[in-house]
Amino acid sequence: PVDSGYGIQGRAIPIAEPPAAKPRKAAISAAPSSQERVSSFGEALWRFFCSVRLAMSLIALILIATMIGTLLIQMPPELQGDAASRAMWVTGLTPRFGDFTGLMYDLGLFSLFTSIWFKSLLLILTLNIIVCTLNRFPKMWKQATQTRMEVGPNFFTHGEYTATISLPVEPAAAEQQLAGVLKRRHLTVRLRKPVEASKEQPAAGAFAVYADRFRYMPLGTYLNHVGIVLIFIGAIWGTLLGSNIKIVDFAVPAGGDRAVGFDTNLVVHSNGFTEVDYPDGRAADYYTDVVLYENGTQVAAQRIRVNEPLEYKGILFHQAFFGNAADIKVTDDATGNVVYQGSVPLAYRSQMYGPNNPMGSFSLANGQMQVDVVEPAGPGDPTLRPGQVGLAMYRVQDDHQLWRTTLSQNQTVNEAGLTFTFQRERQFSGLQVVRDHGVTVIFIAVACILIGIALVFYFPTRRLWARIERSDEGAIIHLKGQAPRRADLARDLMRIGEHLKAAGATIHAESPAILEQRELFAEMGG
Amino acid sequence: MNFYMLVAGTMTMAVAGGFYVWYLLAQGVLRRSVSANMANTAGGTSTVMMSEQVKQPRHPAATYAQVVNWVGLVFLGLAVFARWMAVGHAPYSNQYEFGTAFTFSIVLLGLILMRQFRQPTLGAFISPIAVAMGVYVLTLPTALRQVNPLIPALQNPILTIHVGVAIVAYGIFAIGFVAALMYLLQRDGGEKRTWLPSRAILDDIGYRSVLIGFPLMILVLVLGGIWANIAWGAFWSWDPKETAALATTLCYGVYLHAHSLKSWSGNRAAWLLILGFALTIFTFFGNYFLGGLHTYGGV
Ligand code: HEM
Repeated sequence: PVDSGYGIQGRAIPIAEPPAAKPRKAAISAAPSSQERVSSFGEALWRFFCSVRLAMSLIALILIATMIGTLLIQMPPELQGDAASRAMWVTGLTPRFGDFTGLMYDLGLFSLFTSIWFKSLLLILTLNIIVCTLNRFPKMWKQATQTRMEVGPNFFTHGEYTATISLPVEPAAAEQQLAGVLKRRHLTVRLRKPVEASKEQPAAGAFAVYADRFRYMPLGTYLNHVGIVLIFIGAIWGTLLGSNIKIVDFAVPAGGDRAVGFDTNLVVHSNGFTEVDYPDGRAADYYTDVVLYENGTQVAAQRIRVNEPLEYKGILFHQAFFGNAADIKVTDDATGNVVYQGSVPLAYRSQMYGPNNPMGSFSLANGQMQVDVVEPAGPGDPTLRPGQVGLAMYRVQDDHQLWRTTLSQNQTVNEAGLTFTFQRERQFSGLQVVRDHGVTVIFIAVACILIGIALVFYFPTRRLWARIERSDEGAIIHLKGQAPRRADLARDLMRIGEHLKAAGATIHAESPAILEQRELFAEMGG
Repeated sequence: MNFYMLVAGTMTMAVAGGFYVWYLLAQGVLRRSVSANMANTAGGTSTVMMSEQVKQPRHPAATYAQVVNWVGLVFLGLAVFARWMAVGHAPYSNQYEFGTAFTFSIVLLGLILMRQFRQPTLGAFISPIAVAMGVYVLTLPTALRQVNPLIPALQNPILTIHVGVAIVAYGIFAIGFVAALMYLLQRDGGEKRTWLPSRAILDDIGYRSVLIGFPLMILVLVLGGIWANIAWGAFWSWDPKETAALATTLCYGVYLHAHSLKSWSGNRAAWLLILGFALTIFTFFGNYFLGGLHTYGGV
């Protein structure tokens, strides 16, 4: 990167004229006016956000944050909405982190990726990218479109990639040959021009040649960095639009229905859940046959698997998990009316009734009562035998447990004027229902990033200047190349030398980088 | 079958490593005579006169090393292929399969970059890494060698590409690591170590490894995201292993910026390559201690 001519913020651009000394306003006026102070503050801020060093620091900080996030236990996202479960979860960590637990929690270390300071880092980074991108655009555009093609003799005296080659022909013929060789190396020759040899001998005659390749490709860096900003936009896009749907526990009993809700009129019906096992008992495949209704009309039907979600109007229905559901019927003893009849998916886990039992619940009396249904945690469950379910009723108002009992299949229990029947068990499908328009933005962003990087990396721009003068042997060619990423330039110049040599040229001098290439190739074979 | 191929491949690589070290040492002796010449050229800006075309005979150790290395590559390739045939899908479903492919990838990419940059000395450092990786895989619990069918979530062609690309990226980062190591071993000013390539070339190799590896890592993350979006309904979920892969990518991102700054290119950039490979290894072994959606890939 040294002396490449593509330095950031205008450093090291040898082709440009030395910048005229800019009078510093503040240095002249003794007491800067408030407006000037504002503008110099603005300028300082702008310069701060231009810095690539800042970019590196920010990316490094984000890197450290992500490492903490991988190594330190993170709060499951489903807990974050509920203060009580959050507190319980944090208390559970006290044995591990002792007195620091509270502090670590307050610092957001357990929910790092949603913490304020992580988001702030991303925000500053976004500003950094935007400012930096705007700032360097004019210079880069100028580099791509208005390179100085004609240069003086001093230009060739230093640089990482220079060579001096002589040819036993007239300068005009040498220029011809060189242009041919440059074309063969896939460079576009943009300038071929007779120039004055020197102030003292203007009539001796000389030629200036300029050629380049992939000159617009560095602008790919804009696609790349804009893509990165788009990623952040994509991540919050759905939230901005308010159109996100995310239901992670959408359990549908086999043969049952469930409405999606939100702004949709969709109802999911399951025609059954199937699990196919390998001989060793591990799952080979599992799927749900799903029918989707909108306003009562069937709009889609599909067998959904882990890798084959159903998509309808941007909503994805994923097969996420599965388990058992208990069919429960509740009748009012006084009237004989059925007040509840349904399959309760035991989609959650609870430790209230034993060791981590699958649990589901339903409500009665217009939501004033809640009934929990649990099944055995496994064959060794001390309280529930296989085939049994446990029922417990709560008053929602104060979370007070009214009663609790155990039922086998087709058994009933009478409590508070209601008869509860456990009819049978069936399977349920746990779906995940997601709508996130941001994903489209992310895909666009990713395409920008990959294309941008590919342009910059794999089509490396390179420039070559040549000056051809008359000499004792005939003509002498001074060559100089520049490339931001080395870009095999040494090899390019080596090959150009070889082509010319085949035409009778003598290589007089080459800069170390080219020499080194030549040496390696000589040693290891072309 | 694939196990024995892996044994053969690892042993062959150890032999190749021996030849590379021999070549390295021979370089030290051979070049000492020319070194005075080269010391001036390390200056950087001055143009030196071309003297006679420096035509040195290639030391035979380089040829032996290269040949043995190719044989090792064939063994490792057969190990990957045999496993593929045995399990009926691309070999990525556990650490044994992934590790075998990783070893193969290190050796293959090492050969390619050594050829591209004409620097067989790299092999003296690449081979030990490949051998270490091979030994690690060979000493994994035998249960992992059993052919187990894929769980449903893994039955997706996107994953095949996802893991395939990851293996290439990890392999190329290993080469970048080697280049950085050699860069730091090589002296900056003064008399160069004659058995090592110049810093400029090592810097080039390291940079090239990132030019290839960095976009591939992005592709790995993206393919992972696409698959997760299909299978789990979320493009990104801060799953520990994907987060570790992101950290690795970010480290190489810092490197890319560092390399463009005069004050950060050189030693600091080389250290970033080393850190990057440390993170790569961390990501690779992440299955063991990170948990999350990738756990089924572990033990
Ligand atoms: C997460 C954030 C970022 C990522 C992933 C990233 C990625 C990259 C990549 C891949 C390159 C090399 C390809 C290219 O030239 O486009 C690059 C170059 C560059 N980036 Fe970034 N970048 C980030 C943030 C920034 C920021 C905030 C700045 C502003 C200071 C910045 C300034 C630059 C510059 C000036 C280059 C050109 C370096 C050269 O000439 O080689 N980047 N970046």
